[in-house]
Amino acid sequence: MAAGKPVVMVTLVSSDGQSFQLLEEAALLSAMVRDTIQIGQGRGPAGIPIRNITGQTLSMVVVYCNKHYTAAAAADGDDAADEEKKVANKKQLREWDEQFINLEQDKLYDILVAANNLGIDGLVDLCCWRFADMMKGKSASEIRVKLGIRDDFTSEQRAQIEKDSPWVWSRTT
Amino acid sequence: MGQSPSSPLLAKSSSSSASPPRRRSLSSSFPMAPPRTTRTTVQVAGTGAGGGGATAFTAPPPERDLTQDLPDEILTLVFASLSPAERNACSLTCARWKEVAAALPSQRLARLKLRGLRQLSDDGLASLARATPAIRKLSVSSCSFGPKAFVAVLRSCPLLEDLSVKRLRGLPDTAGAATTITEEILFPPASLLRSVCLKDLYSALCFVPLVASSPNLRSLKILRCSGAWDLPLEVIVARAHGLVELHLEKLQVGDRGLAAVSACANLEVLFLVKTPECTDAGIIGVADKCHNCANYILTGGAQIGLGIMASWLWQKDAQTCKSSSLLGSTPRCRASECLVNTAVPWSVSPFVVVRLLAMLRSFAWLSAVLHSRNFASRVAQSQILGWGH
Repeated sequence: MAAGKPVVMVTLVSSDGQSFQLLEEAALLSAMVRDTIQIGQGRGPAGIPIRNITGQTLSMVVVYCNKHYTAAAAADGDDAADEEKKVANKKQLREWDEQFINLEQDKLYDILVAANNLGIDGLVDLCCWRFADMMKGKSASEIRVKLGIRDDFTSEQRAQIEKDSPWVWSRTT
Repeated sequence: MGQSPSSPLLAKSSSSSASPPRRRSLSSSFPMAPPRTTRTTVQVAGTGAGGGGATAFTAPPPERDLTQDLPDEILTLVFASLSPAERNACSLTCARWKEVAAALPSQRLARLKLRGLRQLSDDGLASLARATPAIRKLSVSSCSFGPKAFVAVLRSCPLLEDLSVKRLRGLPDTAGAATTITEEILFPPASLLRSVCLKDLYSALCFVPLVASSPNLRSLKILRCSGAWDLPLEVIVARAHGLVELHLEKLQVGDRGLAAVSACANLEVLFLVKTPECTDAGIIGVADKCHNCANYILTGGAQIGLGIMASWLWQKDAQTCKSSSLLGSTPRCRASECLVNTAVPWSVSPFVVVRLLAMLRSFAWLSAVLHSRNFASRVAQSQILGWGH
């Protein structure tokens, strides 16, 4: 894949001090890393400190980046390959994504926040999809329980909603 | 968008100055999103309290709020892939979600179709337009507001590209009076407006200033609108030179209007359907001046014979004219002879597509055409459909 090019590694350091090494190209999936490297930082041995993201979450993000980098590199490598193979590869990657993101809400939330902070669009979309999938077919109270949201409607707001659209409470709460 | 105080979008900017804000268009699909699958859920025995749905949870409720650190943009992304009913449920979970979910549809609404809203007034449409600044395509039919409402629409929706108006009731009665096009409705310039369709209007003439104030208009369709359209066409063409497609159907438009149309140098498609006042001379005038015009579709003009097409082809148009359709015309007998006799242009333009629809009254006629000077081999494609009786 990266035949002629020198292999450049980047170190990401999580908030709790764990460090992860990965190929620079893989790390470049993150807009934040891209910008950091562009201004000439982060290549040193100290690595790039990622605040607010724990080692556990970062490890998942790194797995995602590696996988997607490898898949993209493979697709680039045999660009002359037939369409069918490409479609199959894409499908495979999608299945992998699906497996990867099949997490409980806690971890999913951490990864989503991390992906947003790091600016990894693909991962954000994936997490959003999973989040939405989680909420499908649930009532408001069920969503509240699942995501630990506090019901902060005041009684006036509640009355207002009831007045504006009396049907919604009965159907969805 | 309401940013709840607890939601630290700020934390993001402090943690990584380089992290990009998520301001992508929401219409973008999720490229990585896997197809929806049925997930197996583990039934937790003995938690009957929450009802059927609650028992399906595979994990205990979380200790913390799992949404507070999500910026509104992310929430919007999540909501975007939910159905309206599910979004309703979401907007009832807490105040912040309600705000985000409520802001969702209107702010990014790009296409709006209003049909049969008899109670909607000018003011109503104006306030609707204010809430939907991103509209690109607006289609109204059988509503009761008047042309003044569109002033507000054009003002509030600068992105409007496509406007379609059908069967409006609130329009002032200006039928037949060509002078009313100077009526003082000041439409703001709509620089992005590219396509306008006016259909079944008693007083479409009051939209002429609107059309004329769209310098980048490319496609104009006026169908079954009353009034004399010769003068309005002159006004429109004088300001909107860039017309590429013009569709006139059942209009009171004559050769004067066509002469105005011929000033559109970029005209590529001209539909003339049931415009009985147009004569051969008018259409030949257009054909002479609009060299880019590659598609002519003429239907049912009493005075337009097949001779017209023959004349174009005979003249300079043969090279550019790619498709000419005469649908349901009533060609006079002479016209067919004309076509037979214009075999020379066929050889000049091998790409001509000729569609003769429902106009062929006799087989003999056709065979005469086909046998004339290798017609069939020269014409790249000829579709002969819908035989006459």
